[in-house]
Amino acid sequence: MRTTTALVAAALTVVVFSTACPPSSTASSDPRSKTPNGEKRPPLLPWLPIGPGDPPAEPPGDSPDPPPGDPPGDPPEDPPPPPPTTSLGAPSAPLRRLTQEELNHTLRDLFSGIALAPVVVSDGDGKGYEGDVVRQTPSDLAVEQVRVAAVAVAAAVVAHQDLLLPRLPSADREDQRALGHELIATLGPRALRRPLQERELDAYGAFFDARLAADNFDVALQLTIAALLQSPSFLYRIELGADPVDDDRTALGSYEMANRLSYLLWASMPDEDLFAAADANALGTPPEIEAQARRLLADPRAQDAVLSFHRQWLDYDDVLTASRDAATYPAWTEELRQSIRTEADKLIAEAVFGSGDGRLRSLLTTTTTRVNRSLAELYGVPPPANDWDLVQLPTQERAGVITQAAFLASRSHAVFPSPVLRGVYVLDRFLCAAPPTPSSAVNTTPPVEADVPAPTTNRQRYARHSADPFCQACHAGIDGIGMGLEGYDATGRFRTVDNGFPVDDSGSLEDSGIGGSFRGGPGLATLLAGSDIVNECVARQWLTYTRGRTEDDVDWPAIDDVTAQFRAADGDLRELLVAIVKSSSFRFLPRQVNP
Amino acid sequence: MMRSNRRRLLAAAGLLGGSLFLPSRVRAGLPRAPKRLVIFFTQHGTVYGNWRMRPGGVGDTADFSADLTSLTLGEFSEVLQPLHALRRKLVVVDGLAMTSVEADVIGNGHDLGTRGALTCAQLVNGNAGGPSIDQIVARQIRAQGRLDSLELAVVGTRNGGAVWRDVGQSISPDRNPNNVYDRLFPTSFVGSTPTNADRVAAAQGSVLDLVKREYDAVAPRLSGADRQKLELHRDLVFDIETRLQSPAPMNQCSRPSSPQLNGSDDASFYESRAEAMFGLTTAALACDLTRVVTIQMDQLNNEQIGAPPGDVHADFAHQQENDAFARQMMTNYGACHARQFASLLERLDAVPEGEGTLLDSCAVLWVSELADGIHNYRPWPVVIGGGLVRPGRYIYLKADVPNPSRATNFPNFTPTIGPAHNKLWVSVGRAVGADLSSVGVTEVFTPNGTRIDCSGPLEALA
Repeated sequence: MRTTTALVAAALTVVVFSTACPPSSTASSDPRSKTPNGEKRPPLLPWLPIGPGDPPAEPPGDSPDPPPGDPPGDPPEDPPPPPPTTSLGAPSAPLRRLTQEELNHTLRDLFSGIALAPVVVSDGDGKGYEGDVVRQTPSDLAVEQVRVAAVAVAAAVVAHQDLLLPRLPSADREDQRALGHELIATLGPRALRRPLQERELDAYGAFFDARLAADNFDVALQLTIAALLQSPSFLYRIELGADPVDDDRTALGSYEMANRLSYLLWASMPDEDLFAAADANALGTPPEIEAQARRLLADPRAQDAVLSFHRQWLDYDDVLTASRDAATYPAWTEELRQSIRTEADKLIAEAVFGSGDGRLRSLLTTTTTRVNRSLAELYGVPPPANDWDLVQLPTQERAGVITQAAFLASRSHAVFPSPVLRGVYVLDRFLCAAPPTPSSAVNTTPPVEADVPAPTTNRQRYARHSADPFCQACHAGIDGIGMGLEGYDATGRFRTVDNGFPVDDSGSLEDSGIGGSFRGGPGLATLLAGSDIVNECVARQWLTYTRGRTEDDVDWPAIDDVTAQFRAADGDLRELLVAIVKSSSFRFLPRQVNP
Repeated sequence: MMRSNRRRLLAAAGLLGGSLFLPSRVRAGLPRAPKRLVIFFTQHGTVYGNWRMRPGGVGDTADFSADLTSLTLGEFSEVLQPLHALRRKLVVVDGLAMTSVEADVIGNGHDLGTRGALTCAQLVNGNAGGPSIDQIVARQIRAQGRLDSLELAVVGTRNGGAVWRDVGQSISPDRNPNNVYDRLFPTSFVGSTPTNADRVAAAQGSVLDLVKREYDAVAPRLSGADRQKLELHRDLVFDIETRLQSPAPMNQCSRPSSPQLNGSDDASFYESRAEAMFGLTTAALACDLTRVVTIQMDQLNNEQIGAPPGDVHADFAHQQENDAFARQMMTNYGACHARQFASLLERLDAVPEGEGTLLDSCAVLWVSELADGIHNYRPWPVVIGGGLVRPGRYIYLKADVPNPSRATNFPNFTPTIGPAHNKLWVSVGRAVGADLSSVGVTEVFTPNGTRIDCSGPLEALA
């Protein structure tokens, strides 16, 4: 009891202040530092020209360095405002704020080479993906968090101005005013992720001058950077569109497309190559977009984005706060929860970017993963020579993400696994068919009545609510799936015996639209992996994540288009992403309807 | 004089301690006590049988209003006993229905109730279909230099949150007491030789001015909801700029000490954050930094309700109807929140203001996302603290309105329910100075077409 309490408290600390903790993928494990030769380092402030005495920056790729000063393709100053909209038009591509994770990735890449503490700008409440606009209502809290973050980041950057200033192209080090203006002209287009307008150069320049006069160079520099980091063009992904394509669609501007690509495929800002392509207006045609997408997908940063999607889609963080009865599960420790959470990422990374073939089928059926000692014990395999070595799990017991402890344990109660929560999860996440949870006045847990014999197994305990015809309507489908996962206890450990009785892990998808009966996790995984419904659902999940708002009827053409390509690519998840970026919904803005 | 007087009062109330950070304030401060709204929002409703009271044995068939102040501790219900000492400043409202939620789609009761409790609006795309009452009131009584509203959460929120700015616009509360403190009481430089950090802090207003102008430049180039979002962001930037540059309300308050947080296990962690947020609420209201506060309380932990290991939601709340032990656990659950609610009210009551206390100029509502742990939406338990709604009463409202629910085949369906909870919010909104004729939907219909009026005030509260 005492142990459980302490563990839960520790876990709660994670929940409460999760926003204050370093995002797992940013602080200490920048994937770009994990290069094969182990010597390559992230490019230092890649938007700065190389100055004398600086370490060599990353090779810029095929594109030449962007010329200093005004890049080509500077947008016209203040184009006329768009016509007002009515609610009759198709739902727009909504204005999106960078999520906390995207913000931290962006700051990491914008100021690469400068160590920054992670910033806290909470993603709001809601049930959708973190980038869902419902969760991004501007509030005093959010605006203040942005201000505090901007002040802190600007302070850290100014403390490392020795990295910035020597490489400014032409400024005279003695001329502080010129130096400030030079930095605005160089940093500004990268922070706002598009060329600066004259108006903006003037505004930030005048602000710098005023603060230089009132305070000093360092203060003026810090305040100017803090202002850039609070500007709408930094914080939001503003899409004004370029030219109308037809009556219904407007093309995206090239910088807008660069941002769409980088935030979907890297969960971060564009790199120098992508900016160069935008400068050259070479992000308009499907082949141009596809070429860039394939380049981005080959970069280690793509793993950030793919893991972020899976973390949100499959609720991987839930396991971190799952408390178990200590008497029943003495091995359930904070360390084990963290290990389970880590393994969830590692399986996805291995299947999509590592030794796997990147197919959805593999994600659902793979037995290849990475474990440490405590997970090896949980999964019943010999301990690895080194933590997180590649291992093969027993094929009779495990198959892909639905037999991972992260899912099985987070859909369990303190003592008993929950076939209901597990069944609902599979229906919701893999079949896009979440059943409604019972509304008023339905007893939703298996009763422990005194007047009937105690249940022998968890299956029998839960089977009782299937007995009520009123409940049957939904539970035939839910339990058909969930009962088939009775071979895993509330921590995700495989079992053949429950409460002294043999486990019955037979299940059925007859009531879930797919059809067929199965035995155990591998049996369920095989059926799901062969289902076109699952293919389509995964495409829909990715499209919803991409879009930043809930699905609408108008989205079906895009869903059908992308699903068809996903199917044609044999369920290759990287090809799914390529199909999404080439789709009309990704390349165009809906044209606003004039009332 | 006043200061020492208050300190004595606080000591008497047992409130002086590690976590106390009440601001000091001179009596001559506000000319007339402003009206304030506080909402204390909890999970899982209550155990109705152990929450309700029937003073004098009156039955359920007719409305009644009884004197709460004459009841003994033993006559108070088990859930509400921790509030007995405060009965002269309480109204208990028994019998309301979340009518707009009953009439909504059939779905997850927690989600629907969370979105409908404070909005009385029906779902749009799975999100709340309108603003919550705190936001409605905040917008009506807003004033430059004051925070429109303060959204707090103790530990975290559930089911996507109860506070909505408007249709599909969830507002995320602050969960971090230290952060709340920094937002309410920003540090300002007062020395003579400023460091660079002091200079940066002092110049924040000028940065925000530039930022605001950038939003001004960009917003008109967008349209519809996107433009509104940037305009709202700009307004919030301006609000913060104003507050940083002229923290006028602090003229009446000296800076309180920062919250002391502790919590080595989940129960003390929860209690520590709750007390900190109650203290911050009191400070914010006493200094008139805001007049609207919502406090969303997370689900309680087993240790707080004396429960063995198990899932509070699944093993106790859902079982309260058919399992005596689970019912007792959820009764303890209600009583634990009653103790917390009492602590909040005592803190407000410990601050002298005008001829009375800060609590007298507040309406402090304790409501939940559901009526009970088995997902009913009625009778919806409501307790009102403070002096704005005439206190000292137990108000019972009989169930004589047709139930608009489509789930007529559900086991606990009842053909009639009490008055719509919209009416409560109209009355409370008016009590705190808002001009309201309705909140959320104005009417709903039963499956056979009978119209149910949801507008206007709750006459029984007058």
